[in-house]
Amino acid sequence: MKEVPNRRLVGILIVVMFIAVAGTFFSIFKQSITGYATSGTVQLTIGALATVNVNSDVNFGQGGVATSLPYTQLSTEAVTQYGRFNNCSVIDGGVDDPTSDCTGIEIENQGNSNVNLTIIAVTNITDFYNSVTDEGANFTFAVLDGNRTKNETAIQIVGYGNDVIGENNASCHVNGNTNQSIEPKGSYLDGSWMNWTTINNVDESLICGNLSFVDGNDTITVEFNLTIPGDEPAGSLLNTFTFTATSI
Amino acid sequence: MKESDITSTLKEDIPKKTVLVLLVMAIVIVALGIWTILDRIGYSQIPPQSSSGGEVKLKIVPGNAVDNIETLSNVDEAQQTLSTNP
Repeated sequence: MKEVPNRRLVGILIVVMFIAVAGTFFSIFKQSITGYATSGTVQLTIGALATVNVNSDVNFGQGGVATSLPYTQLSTEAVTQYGRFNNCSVIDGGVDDPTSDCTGIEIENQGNSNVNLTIIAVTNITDFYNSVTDEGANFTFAVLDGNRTKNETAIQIVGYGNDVIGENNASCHVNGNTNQSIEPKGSYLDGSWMNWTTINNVDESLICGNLSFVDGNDTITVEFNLTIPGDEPAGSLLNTFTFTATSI
Repeated sequence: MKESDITSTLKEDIPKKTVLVLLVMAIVIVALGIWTILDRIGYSQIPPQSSSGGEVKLKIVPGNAVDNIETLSNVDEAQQTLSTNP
């Protein structure tokens, strides 16, 4: 067999190195191109943008706990509360501060793509309350379709749930890949039954598998229910929730 | 230099050591190129994410809720009395 001269091998290696370097540069620059024009045709790629905005916080205001009862219960779905806590049935239902609002945390998809939305709490129930016994202590959430004034989506206006009206009139649709929509599911818009679920500060919990970005159908509202132990001392309580949207 | 010396130099092949060095360089460059491209593909496949925070807050004040409710009902009664007896 005829031996290949080293001169030829060197030539081949130089060509291989040149192709590798050129290919890498081309690959990098090709990915950073978002648009170019050729033959009078403009081509461009719009990147998916996941942007969610929290439109409202929940401020129950201030009040005392019911020591004659085992515990005190506050809900963003309740019209009347114990003591002087705020009225959560209307926006700006603050008793001592009329601008205070406790109608739920409203999350709006302001991006240009549908998103998968999760929730995680900063503090768990035990650390949230300062009670010694923590007897009856609870902190739960439920998810409703649409905005907090319940007048955005067709589902809200008609007053039934996704199962009756159909998801096309809702903000939270079914994710075709995971088959998940609102989680926890089944809460009634009139508050007659809510699927209250305990908050979680360890894992992110899915609250909507496919939140639409189309204006008028791009919000969901997270409602909260607090059960305060009878021995909860005076002081301020605060919990923060992080909502993460991932473009789908 | 004689013409015969020049001819022999041109005819001499490149040393094996040089070929080996170039071979190693080529392997490194190709490996780096593949890694760079795979890395870029990985980045471009991460779906865009966005996070936002919301708060739930309240303040527990001294005195129990029943006292407060009684206080409020007393105020309501007083207001009703005032409105019925101007």
